[in-house]
Amino acid sequence: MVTSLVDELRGRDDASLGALFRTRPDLAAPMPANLVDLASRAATRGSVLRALDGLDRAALQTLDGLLVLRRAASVAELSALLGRPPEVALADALDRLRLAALAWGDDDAITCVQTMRDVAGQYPAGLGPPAAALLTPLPASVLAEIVELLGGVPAGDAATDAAAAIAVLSEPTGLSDVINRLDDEARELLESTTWAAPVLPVRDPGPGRAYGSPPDQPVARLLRRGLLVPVGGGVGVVPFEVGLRLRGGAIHRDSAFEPPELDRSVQLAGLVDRIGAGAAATFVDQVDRMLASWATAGPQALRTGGLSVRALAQVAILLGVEQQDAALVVETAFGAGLIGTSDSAYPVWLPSVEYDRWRARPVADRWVFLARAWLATTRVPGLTGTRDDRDKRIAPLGPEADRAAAPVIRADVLEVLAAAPEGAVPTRDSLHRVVDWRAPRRGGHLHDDLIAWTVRELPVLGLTGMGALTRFAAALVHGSRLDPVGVLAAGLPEPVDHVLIQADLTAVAPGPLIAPIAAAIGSVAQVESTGGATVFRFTEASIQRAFDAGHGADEVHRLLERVSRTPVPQPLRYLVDEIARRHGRVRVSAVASVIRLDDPATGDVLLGDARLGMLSLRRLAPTILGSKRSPQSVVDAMRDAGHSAVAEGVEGELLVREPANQRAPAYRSTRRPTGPPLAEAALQALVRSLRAGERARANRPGVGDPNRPRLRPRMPVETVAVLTDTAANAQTVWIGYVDNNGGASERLVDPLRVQGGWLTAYDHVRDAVRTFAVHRITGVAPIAE
Amino acid sequence: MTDGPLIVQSDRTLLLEVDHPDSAACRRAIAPFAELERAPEHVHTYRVTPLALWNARAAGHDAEQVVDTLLLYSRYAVPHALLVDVAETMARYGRLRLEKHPTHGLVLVTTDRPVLEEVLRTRRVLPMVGARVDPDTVVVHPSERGHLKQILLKLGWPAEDMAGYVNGEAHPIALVQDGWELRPYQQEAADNFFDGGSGVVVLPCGAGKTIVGAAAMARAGATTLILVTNTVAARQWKDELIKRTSLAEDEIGEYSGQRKEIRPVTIATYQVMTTRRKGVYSHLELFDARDWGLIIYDEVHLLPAPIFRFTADIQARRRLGLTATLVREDGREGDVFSLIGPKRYDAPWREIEAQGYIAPADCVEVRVTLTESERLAYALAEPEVRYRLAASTPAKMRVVDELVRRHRGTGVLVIGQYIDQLDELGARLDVPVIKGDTRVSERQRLYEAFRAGEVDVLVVSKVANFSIDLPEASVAIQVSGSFGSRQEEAQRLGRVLRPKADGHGARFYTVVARDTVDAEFAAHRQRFLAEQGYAYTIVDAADVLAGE
Repeated sequence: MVTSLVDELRGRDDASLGALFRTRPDLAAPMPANLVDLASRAATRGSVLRALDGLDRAALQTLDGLLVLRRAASVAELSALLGRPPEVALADALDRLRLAALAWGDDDAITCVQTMRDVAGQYPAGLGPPAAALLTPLPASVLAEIVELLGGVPAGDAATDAAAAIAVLSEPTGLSDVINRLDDEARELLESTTWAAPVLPVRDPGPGRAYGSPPDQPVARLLRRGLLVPVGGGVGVVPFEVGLRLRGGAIHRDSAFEPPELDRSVQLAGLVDRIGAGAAATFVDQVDRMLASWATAGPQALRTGGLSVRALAQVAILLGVEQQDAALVVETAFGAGLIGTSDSAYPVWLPSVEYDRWRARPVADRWVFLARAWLATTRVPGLTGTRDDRDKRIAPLGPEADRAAAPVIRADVLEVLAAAPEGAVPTRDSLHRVVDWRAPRRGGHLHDDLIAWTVRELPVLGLTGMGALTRFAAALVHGSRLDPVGVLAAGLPEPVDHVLIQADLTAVAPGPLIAPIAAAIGSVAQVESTGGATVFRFTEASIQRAFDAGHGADEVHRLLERVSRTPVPQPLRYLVDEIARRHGRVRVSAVASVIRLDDPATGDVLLGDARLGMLSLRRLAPTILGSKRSPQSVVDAMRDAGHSAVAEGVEGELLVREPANQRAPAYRSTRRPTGPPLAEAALQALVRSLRAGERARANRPGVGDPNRPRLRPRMPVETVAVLTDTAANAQTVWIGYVDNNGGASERLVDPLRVQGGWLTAYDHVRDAVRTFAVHRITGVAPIAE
Repeated sequence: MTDGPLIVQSDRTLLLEVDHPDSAACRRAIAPFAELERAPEHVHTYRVTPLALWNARAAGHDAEQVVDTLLLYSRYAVPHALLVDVAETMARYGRLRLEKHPTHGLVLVTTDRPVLEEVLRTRRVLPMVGARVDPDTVVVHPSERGHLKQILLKLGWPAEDMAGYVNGEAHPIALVQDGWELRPYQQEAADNFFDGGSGVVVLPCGAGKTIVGAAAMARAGATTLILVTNTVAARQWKDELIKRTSLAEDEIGEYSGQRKEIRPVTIATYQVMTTRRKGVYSHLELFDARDWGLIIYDEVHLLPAPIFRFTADIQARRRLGLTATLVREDGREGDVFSLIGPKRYDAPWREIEAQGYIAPADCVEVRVTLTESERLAYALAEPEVRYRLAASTPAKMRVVDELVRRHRGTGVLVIGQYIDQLDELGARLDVPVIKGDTRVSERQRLYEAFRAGEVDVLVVSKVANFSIDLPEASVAIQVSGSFGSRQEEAQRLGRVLRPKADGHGARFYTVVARDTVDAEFAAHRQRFLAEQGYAYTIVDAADVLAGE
């Protein structure tokens, strides 16, 4: 007979303990010292709420069944309350609850943790307390009237009458009669509570009176029959039995024990992958373009850390997408650690050092990196632009757009899709229903939004195509043996190495360009349209830019000849020549100091003077020289060389044209997403440590326990002997130990060796090998086997 | 991965690779739902717009066909969002229909009740409708037929107009095909229009839009009101109708500034229709002057706003729009769609050119360099006068001299904006000049002489821009123009695109001043012409003068 959660946990095998940690990973951090610790941790409010978020609808309904009875229930009772679900389904749901340590007990007496009752509130499942709890405290006169009106004969004794009333209310047919005999007004009033809270307003009774509500009111007729019981505070409660009868005997309107199924049509898997691969390539390209533009001109970070509305709008315009999708690009890049803020006084968003590594990889690799980041990130792009609790607009990249439930819901959606046959296209509604069934409480009030956002983002990322999961996305789902990179790479279009240049001054790359050609054409033309192909446009400004970057006209011509598969149109060649002709007609250069001379001859002298070489003098005009050195150093150098020079008012500074290509440290999420799968090894270690803690606890006999091993003081020599002995036999011993601070403790250890006055031993509770000074060991006792 | 000729971009443009073996088939398949935007030599750009999709719906295509076409011809993955959007947009057309109810008259009927509820809840629709006949039907005031369609289009629920047309006063009209024949595409355009009820036929300049109009009149066999841009165009329509149809001269009336004749076939100008007396459009009553069976709008892309307003009131009459382009610079494509009707026929310039019906044209831009003093004057000039300064530089004169000398005898038009520049050119070349104050009879005499070959060079101002027919002009030289308008460019090019008797290609010269705002406008022109697929070269004035 299991009487407590600790008992239940003690009865578990290692696998089952491991499973508990798997379903409730929060219990593993920090590590509980022993099972009592674990049991109490599992019953804390926070942990219970978290566990509830992970329950499916069937389990939640089962839990309702356990809660409404307010006592231990048998499976048969539960089954009746839940509308007789399939036995297997109910047993499964109970197993899930037991496994999660939310309920325990054999099938004839299942209990849920007490905290659950606190969490569920006053009226679990919208049902009141049992009649017994409500009626017993009522005064005898009131009870007598109830019994009479329920069709019995009052005994006049409170206890007997209460029992009689309870008996009527607990018997379904009798209760139905009572309800049916009510007048319409009173019955409708009572029925209004059926699917709502089981309460009605009543007037509190004055002193010496049974009821406050006037007798002619329908509520009084309910009160006088015990169908509604005043509990003070102006509230009357409908007893559980009555509520249950109103609901027809089952506590839920719709039984959720049958998981919903996807309504789906089918698409050809090949087409799905093609469409998905196209979207995947586009998404990678969008992230790349956004980051490349931020590398030279990152947007200012808001004071609160986010991105301004304007900056997001600019990203949307740059990428030619809706703001929602721009937010997805930005947040995914952030979640992937590809952006961060600069370390300056006015922080700016910049690509991170990670970006350079990411960019160097092939498209398929880059996509998988982004897709994994999206799956794992707690960032929620869908929140962008919505209002938070204080009615403040939530900015992308801001601290408010973070929800721990987001990655779990994404994983749920993907798992549901992956479980369907290849190429299945679920309807949006049915997908939503199925995901919702798996964990209807997850995400709180954002639950539906989080699912909807996830579903909306799937095609944008290329996880779905034509509404069905792509094969490379399925490969991302936990447990798949396929390599997503390989599957995706096979579906991506072959890169091309040429463009078609046309007379309207556009160049079309009929496919994804290989990087060097893309960079080359990008240096002389601007991108006009993206997608499967890229359209570039040559403008005066774009060609000017090429000249600014140091290309000459010949070079531009050669570049065009090289990248174009078709002859370069005459107007384009003419345009390049025109701009080359104009280029450099006005020249601007930087000098730090200007040297004015009275006559050109002095200039010749200065330019010829070898001692002034370090000034790198340059003739700007017959009587004007320029130098890169500061006026002060020019004056000094001239004087040293014997020319008399005078400083003339200090002005002029170097103009730095090259924009700094800046990087920020990578973003590291500080938030711990719930539910990262624990590694198998870690789970085993956890269970082993628990077991040890448990042994330690069991072997720490109480005072006066006859089995208590006596940790009597021994001579150090004796201690050493015992320890050496146990080390040799790989035994576990109990030692008394005084630590550095003088604190006495008792440790359960496996001695490994004794050397130089130190014991090296495995400490079970701390799960580590420690050293102990032999002279501080106060006693040794082998554990009772 | 298929190897189709089409690439679908994420910004809803479609790139069609012209040299691909399947490109012709693909072009035909996408033409119903995508508007051709650019047609340079290698890759044509089409755009999928809501209006284009609705045009396709009106022509009987459905979303499935569109999606299948895209998937069939697309080389790479089609963006999923685009496919979804195509289906959603197309599904919006026809949810609401205007119909004739046997007892209630004009009604708005829906196949989707929430849509009807949605539009009835908008403030602007409410005053246009009357009683609810049944949950899916609501009475519409007959006078609001056009306005309602305009507003429903703006709301994104374009209504299909199934309410039919009045036949109008019958008047027998037949085509007289003596020595000429209706070309296949003209026949198809007229048939498509008539079977569709009302709508727009898009044909390039010089492809014989007048004849499509005449064929439509023959099918309607009813009194017709024709609206044209100006008086010269009106006279040409009249001549053409007398020549091509059974109509006699006294059956055709001209309603213009000079004459106010109302006959079974009446040709009116936009200008007279939009003339206001004391703030009232006094001539709009022409629309009601007879029981017209057909109304033809020439150059729909230039249709002025008051005509739109009035057209909204005559939705029960058949309407034919003729134009070379659906692109309106004022962005009122939606009004053309809802008030005149959807696109009923479209043929690209190049295809008709390839069939030999219009002449191919070579476009040459000649760049002249300003002298130093001119450059200084230009740099110091106020922005408003800069264009004029640059456009009328004397340096252009010598180039025009040389070009005219080279092409003398083949029919040369010199086109310009500034009267003094044109006068000077006329004097210098010793040829007649046609400008705004040239009398109509004098204009027609000169055109006739030009056509007959008696005059081989004409200098014309922008009056020549619209709807004149100069069959023998094989060279046009543009010296100045109003700020690079695309329409103007299309019209001017149209001047020299008519088929030539000798089968020679046409030349279109533009003389521009280098490094000035004139060259900037030329850049727009170049883009437009290159986008239309014309060969375009740029040469230096010095090379022209050197005789290259």
